[in-house]
Amino acid sequence: MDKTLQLLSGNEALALGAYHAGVQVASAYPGTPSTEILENLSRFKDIYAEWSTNEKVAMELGMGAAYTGARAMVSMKHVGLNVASDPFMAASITGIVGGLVVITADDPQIHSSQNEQDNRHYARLAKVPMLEPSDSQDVYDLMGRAFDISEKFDTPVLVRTTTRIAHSKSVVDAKRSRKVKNPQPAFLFNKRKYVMLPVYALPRHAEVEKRMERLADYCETFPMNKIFWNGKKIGVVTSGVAYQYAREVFPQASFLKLGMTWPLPQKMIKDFAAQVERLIVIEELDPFLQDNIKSMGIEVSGKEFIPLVGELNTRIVTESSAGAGLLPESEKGDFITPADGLARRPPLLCPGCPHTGIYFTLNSIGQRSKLLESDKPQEPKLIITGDIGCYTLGAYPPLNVLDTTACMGAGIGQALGMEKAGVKSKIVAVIGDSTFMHSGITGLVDAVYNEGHITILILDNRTTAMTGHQEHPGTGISAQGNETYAVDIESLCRGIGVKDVKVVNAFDLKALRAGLRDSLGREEVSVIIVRGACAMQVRKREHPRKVDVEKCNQCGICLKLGCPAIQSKDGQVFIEPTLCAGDICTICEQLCPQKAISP
Amino acid sequence: MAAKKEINIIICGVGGQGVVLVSELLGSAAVRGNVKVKGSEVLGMAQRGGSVFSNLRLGGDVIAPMTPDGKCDVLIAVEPSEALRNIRYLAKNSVVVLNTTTVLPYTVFLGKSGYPTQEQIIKKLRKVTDRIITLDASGLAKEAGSLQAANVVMLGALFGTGLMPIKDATAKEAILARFKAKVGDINIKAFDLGYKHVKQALAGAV
Repeated sequence: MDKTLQLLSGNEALALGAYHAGVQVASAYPGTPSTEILENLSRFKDIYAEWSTNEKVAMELGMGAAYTGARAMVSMKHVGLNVASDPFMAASITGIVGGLVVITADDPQIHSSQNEQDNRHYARLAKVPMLEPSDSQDVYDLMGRAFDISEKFDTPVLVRTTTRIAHSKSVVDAKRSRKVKNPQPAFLFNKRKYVMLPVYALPRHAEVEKRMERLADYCETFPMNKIFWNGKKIGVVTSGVAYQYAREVFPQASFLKLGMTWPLPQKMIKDFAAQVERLIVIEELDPFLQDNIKSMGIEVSGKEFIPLVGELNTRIVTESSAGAGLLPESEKGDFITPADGLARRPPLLCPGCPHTGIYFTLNSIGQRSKLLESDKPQEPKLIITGDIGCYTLGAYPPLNVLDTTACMGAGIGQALGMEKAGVKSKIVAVIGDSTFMHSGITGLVDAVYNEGHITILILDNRTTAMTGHQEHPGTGISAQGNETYAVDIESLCRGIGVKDVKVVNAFDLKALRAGLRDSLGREEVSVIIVRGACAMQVRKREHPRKVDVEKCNQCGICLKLGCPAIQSKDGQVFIEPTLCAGDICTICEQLCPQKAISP
Repeated sequence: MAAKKEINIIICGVGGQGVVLVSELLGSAAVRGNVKVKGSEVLGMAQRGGSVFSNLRLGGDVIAPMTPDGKCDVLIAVEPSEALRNIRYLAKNSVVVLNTTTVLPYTVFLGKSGYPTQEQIIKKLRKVTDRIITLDASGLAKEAGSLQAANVVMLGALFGTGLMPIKDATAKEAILARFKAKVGDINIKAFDLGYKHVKQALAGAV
């Protein structure tokens, strides 16, 4: 076995590629499918890697580091770039000194996101070059070039991956070794470049346009824009994972595979188009390549038959191409339809989850089960605006506790908006500790300043759980595993001016109910910090609870907790001992009206 | 000669069953054996009781990281009903290995949905292939020394089909590189038990 060959996911290859390219500062906020990039980088102790409070801060950190001549990388999921877009646009106009590479990991098919946006548009908007790998080797190789391009053209470089690139594994030949270009970074005074007052910013815009012209020349000879000649009947322009699907579906066609998708190599595309009978573009989501190629005056099709929604796969590319007459109908094949009637497996909160108790309480006080009984739209007795994290899963049955989920931190502003619009119902905003740090704080400031009457539940499980337990400013541990300051949420809320701040044990049903009742009765902003460690991080699981069959009267209320450990067989409820979290939880024991549950 | 055909393998189950580990061991064995490999996982909500799917494509030419519908050669279902969830990937006459241990979805406890019997699962799969093997991976894992090794029993079962372009010894190397002394031995035993079961079942079917 060749020692340099490794089976790596796209994210692992990206981290290794950046490390070998001499990255010195790396920042990120966790988000699927990008999280493993910083997790992998943080293991290298000769670089600085941090979990930033949010993507905007991460981008500002990268910008500052790059201004000193260090190589910096900022990674995030697609919607993270929305948060970071302000400094991203700013980094484009000032330019950098050391290489600044920005990773956007898009999520076609919405495997784990709130939308399906195509971040390739950001490259065009910000006027920066964009690279798109199509497998792990591509990722590694492109990272070897991204920092050089950034420095050569004085610009941030956007690298766009997707879930299938980030989480797919393929063999990587990692032949390079780490070289640091500028081991002693220094910031040099240059206000015309770094101080974006109008008088300096307008000339910088002109520089940016000149930069795009130079990049347009450069991309014509960029070695990872490659043509694979084959039959000339069909020529396919493609990039990213779509290349892999297209190559498998059209083994006879010629291919122009673009490793750099902004700016586009106009001459190369024109030459390619001139030599094939029909030019098509196969790309996921928006017609980004297609529209830009059309605007060059080249006849091209793609989105007329390739879907706009969802990720592609070989079957979709085959069927849509056959439908467009590009493949014989016989290629469509005889596919078996997925087995219908199979019970879905919606994700559940874990056994011992600190969110279960408060969610059950919200469900019960808010009489949430009534909402599902009527066919007509109902006004909830208690409106619950949600946010993004494990606790978003509370929207599923049997808990049914969320009315909204939009984007990171949105719940607090939404709650205040509903109140100010004049709804009669009580309003509660639910947000996790990491999300509160990310973008809940400014919403809370707004609610205090504008005299809201909403209740805010901060579900403090001491970690960023949904993405796999990353540290955050409240945990007291850094991304690289060192002890550090922990921001105290309680003092923070008081400092903002919230008069009523309660800290309640997440595993105490009575206290949760009393706390919630008290807060809902108040004519002021009230914060309840519901504190309990994430069950996945608590190793000690002693005394799993048992159901006493003699005492149990099958009322079924314990099943409404949605705890995976509580199951039933032939009508009798039982608790699966290998799943039950035992002493750390006891929510079902507290709930059981018959006192039938005990250690 | 036409383009070299790859072998497509899908491993499925639910969170906590070790599907991803099987996939990692197989990937590592492929790299050790100098076999081209690409793969992709859909974790769903792995730790939260969701469906987990992993596929590996071994050998062959330029290929996508996802096995196309109708092209899966071997399906390993660590949870039997998950085989039905992935039925569209099965090629005609492919091999399906089912663990007999079920994990019921929560919706079943709430009385909102049913769960198919093993006979119903097999009947549906038979529309695509007759080469269906069932095994009690949990029982065999216990025999090997640890209930947790059920996933490695399934890996052994995969190699027992004789369809792998990787040597059995290379798979065992990958297992031993991953697990230390005693756990390594248990897992090798688990691998062998799964291997033997499938080999005998396939021989009996002929």
